[in-house]
Amino acid sequence: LHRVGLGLGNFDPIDSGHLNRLVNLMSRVEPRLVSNHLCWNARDGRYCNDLLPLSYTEEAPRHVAEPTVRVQEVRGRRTPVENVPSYLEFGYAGMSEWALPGGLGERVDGGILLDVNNICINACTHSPEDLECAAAVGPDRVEQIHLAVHTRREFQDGSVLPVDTHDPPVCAETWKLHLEAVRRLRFRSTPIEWDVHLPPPWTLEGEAGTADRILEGCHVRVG
Amino acid sequence: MFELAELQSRCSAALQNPGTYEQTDVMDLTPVQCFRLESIARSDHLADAFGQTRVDHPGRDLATGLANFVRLGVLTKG
Repeated sequence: LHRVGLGLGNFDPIDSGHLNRLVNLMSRVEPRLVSNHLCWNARDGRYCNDLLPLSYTEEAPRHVAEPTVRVQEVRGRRTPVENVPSYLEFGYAGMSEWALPGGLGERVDGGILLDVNNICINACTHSPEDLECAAAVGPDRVEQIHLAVHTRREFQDGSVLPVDTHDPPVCAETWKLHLEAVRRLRFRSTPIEWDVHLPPPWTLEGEAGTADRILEGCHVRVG
Repeated sequence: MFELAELQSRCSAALQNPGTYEQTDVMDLTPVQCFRLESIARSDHLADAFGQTRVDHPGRDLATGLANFVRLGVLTKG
């Protein structure tokens, strides 16, 4: 069960009705994993249906800890948080992007959902150094890997924006990063996110086959 | 440097009020290239599908606001 609207980084309190519906849904479907995005999406009662990044400061993991603990208490176990794709960055950053989930994980004994596609997007949008920072993620905290793809949108001035479309097949650079993740983390359950223009089953089977070959190439046994 | 709450307030105000970014001093935010405007429309769809709590503004207005924000940011921040 992968949440997109909880807004763990919000200053507005978590909507109790929203949380109750989550509880009801969990009781109905009994998900193996419940995850959220490490982001904010509302302020002063105004909601933006997007995954807005938190500032990379010492304050951020402190702030997100309390709502994360609350959700984990509702869930009764870890609810890992996912690194988000970001299209803006704030003027001041006292630490790297990856110190945020790492710091949060230590505070609340929380897990991380590693989205390698979002790493690719942020590396392209902000700085290639993000790839190196991602390597610092504590392996023990990573509970799942997400694969998806971004669409490269080109503008008239020649600039390129990677858009997190979850639409076409996984691209070469995301597969390359996934290979690095598997080498480091070994096996983690790995869904491929495909939101629109769903392909025929054999296309998805092909993607799954590529993921399997990466595991085999790294001599990783599924278990 | 703003505290997180203040930063989110300024960012939220900027995203929802195109044309007022300078007044809200939002240029402490550094827009990088562009926002994913397509995702705004997509997230509206997700809001329906997942029963998200509240959407106080039409997505297209927000997309316009984002576009103006980005345009202003590119012009003034280079």
